[in-house]
Amino acid sequence: MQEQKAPTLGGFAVKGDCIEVGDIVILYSSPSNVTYATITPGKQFANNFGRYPHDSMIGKKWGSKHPSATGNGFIYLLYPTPELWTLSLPHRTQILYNPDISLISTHLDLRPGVKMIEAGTGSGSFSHAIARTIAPTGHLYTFEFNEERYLKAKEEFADHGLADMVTAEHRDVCNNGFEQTDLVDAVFLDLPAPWDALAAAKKTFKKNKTGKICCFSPCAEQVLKTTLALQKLGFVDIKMFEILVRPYEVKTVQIRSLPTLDQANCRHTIGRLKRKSREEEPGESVVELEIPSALDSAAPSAAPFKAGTEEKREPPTIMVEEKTSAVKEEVVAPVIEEKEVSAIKESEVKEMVGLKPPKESTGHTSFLTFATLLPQVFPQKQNATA
Amino acid sequence: MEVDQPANGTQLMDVADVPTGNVIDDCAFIRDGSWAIIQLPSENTKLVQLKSSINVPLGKFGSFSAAELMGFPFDVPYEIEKEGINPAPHISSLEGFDIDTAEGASNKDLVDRREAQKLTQTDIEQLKAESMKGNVHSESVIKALLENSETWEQKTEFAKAKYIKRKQKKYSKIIIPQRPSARTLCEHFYKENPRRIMEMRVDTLSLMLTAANIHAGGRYIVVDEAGGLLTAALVERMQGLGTVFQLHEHEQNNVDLVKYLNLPSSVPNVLRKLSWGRLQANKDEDFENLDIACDDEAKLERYHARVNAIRANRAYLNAGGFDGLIIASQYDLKQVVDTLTPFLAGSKPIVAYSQFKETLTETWVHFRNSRDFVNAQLSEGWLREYQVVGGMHPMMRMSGTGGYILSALKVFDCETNATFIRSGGRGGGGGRKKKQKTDE
Repeated sequence: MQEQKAPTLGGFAVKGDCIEVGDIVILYSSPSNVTYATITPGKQFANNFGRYPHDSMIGKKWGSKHPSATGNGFIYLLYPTPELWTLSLPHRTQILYNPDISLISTHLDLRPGVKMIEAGTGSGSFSHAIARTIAPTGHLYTFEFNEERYLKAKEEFADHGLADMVTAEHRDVCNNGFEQTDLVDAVFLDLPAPWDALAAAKKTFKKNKTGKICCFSPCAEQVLKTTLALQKLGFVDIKMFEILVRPYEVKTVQIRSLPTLDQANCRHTIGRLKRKSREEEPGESVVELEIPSALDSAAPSAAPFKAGTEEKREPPTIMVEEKTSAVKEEVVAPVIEEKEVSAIKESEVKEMVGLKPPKESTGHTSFLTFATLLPQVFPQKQNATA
Repeated sequence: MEVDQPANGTQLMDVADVPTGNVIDDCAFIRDGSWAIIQLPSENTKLVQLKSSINVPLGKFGSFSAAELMGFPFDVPYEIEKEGINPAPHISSLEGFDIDTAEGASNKDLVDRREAQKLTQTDIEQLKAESMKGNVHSESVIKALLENSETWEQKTEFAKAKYIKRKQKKYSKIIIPQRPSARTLCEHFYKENPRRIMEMRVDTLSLMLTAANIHAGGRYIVVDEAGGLLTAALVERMQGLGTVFQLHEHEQNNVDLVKYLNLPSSVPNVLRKLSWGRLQANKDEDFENLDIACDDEAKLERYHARVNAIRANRAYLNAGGFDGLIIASQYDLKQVVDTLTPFLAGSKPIVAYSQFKETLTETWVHFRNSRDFVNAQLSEGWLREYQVVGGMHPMMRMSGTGGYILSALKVFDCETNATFIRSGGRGGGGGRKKKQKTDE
């Protein structure tokens, strides 16, 4: 039985190893340019680099690099996951991103079989991640008070094969509460005024075991008001977190060693040469100064000269702008000594891979307030000592 | 027998010792042999197995008979009392203490010295001893301390609450047997023995589970030298559906942490394993051609069974098509990735952990330069906890690091004009310019 490939659970309605009509495909151009398409014969996707008819995607393996119709551009056809969906979904609201989704899932003890409430549904970013984690035996009840957003989310859940395990409802939970009682293990509230829904949320928890709640609020004032309401309702172990993910960039860094006396001398000589040629022949035509070929390979001290160098194999030259009206006199070139040349050649440049956070990255979107609800029904203590 | 009074406002029901068939509900209750992470008043934690025959010693906080907790829910505060262990208010509750403060209370005139406490050291020791025996309730000890404190009345409400909390950590006997889960095990080991789990913090573990798209029914390859924490986390997120394929060192795989999850025997085992040394057939597996001098039939049979299991697992791995590769290993990461990526299906994630970003760097550069991966990212989780009860402020101590994660998706490359143009774009363009100049 284990030899068979288990069906995709709680994910998107994906059928097989290759892309088929009706599959949702994540179209990946770059990390910041991710979108999706439902494969429909006759339709096409287009970006700056070309067009990509859906028909050409059918039968391709998941993860294939896919050329545009002309072959001048390409995208990757990726398998839909809640994480990629979060990057590509149509934003109808501010959405939850993966760092928050990860930490909330863990702190609410989500795993297959968990029954959970989410309010509001918003753009359904977290809903997909919840469904993936609690499938196949769990159930998500998700509430949205904006009718248009509710209808769109409901349609998406159905399209993604989640209708059986996600119940979407158009409901203002702050004013009308929940119909569920003694049913769920966890509650997630992403509402402007979560404190108005807390008393109602408390009733939805299974009565005989501990329940977990998370309130997601962008403002510190909301956190404080929520905390007071949680305390008043008897929630315990109230904790608040801020989570970020710090990305790193990789760069190749060149590490130069300090110059030796010979190297310094050589550079001074070249500097004098350049200055002299500028002073004595201030014309617009170009005078070429012959620099020993050895200097070419000695990057980066020789780098300024390389700029004027055409081919690596040819002796390097320095281009100097020359004014035509100037009186031409013979340039007396200072001599570059052989040992100075070899010193430049030996000058060492180490290369290493450097890691640094980018100058700008995503900050956190909200504060996460967690709390625990203790069982409201308790086992009767048996006479253990008897 | 009298009925013990549980926490406020709760009702009583029969002991829930009949499995309901729902793993989530069944796991919520303590049973004979359950593992528990006992959270002590000091906030330290202790991993113990609750067998009804044993008495669990908790040092200065006393001890309790595990039998008394059978059928009771996890994650609930219980107080160790003279007559036994009983449900109690949560330790964070300050119920029973009067912390109202006179207006204008401040530490303006506070002089902090030992004499502020009128009880002598001997008095306090005596109270402690009585409390240990269970004759005096810990709440009374704390009340005695604060009633005899000259500075008590000058304290602000916040200062009073803080004072009580500090004393509760010392004198209270309220413990919480936490249900072991990937989260609570990670938190426990991160605090008590971080090296065992490669100093992996709970937010980092969480990020790995989502980055790798772990779900029931998935088939994952895991290289887990983090004490089996990754394996346990995967098993927990799969609840018997799918496969966790461990590549392990030596002959034995690490499943310790899976054992602590208290999974009912009704949950099928999703674990499969293969030792690194058995990726290819070893000489000792060729028993058809080996001349084995062994008269013990049973022993020989066990040997054959073991070899057959190894062969079956190797064949399973070689069949490929896995849904993710998740790694926390001291081995050369690039070698691990190169060896195992071929077994992944297309578009599937590779997620690797390290305490050191430097050990991930080489593979990251490889991911970036190779055409077989996209969306390569190296990142670090950053987590700050705030105090919110009684004023919001960041916690004094925060964790410095929870480790680094490298992730990428496996893709299938193909030749397009675009690759030619793009790779030629930089060099080729420059080449034309060069030509023009040299032609002059």
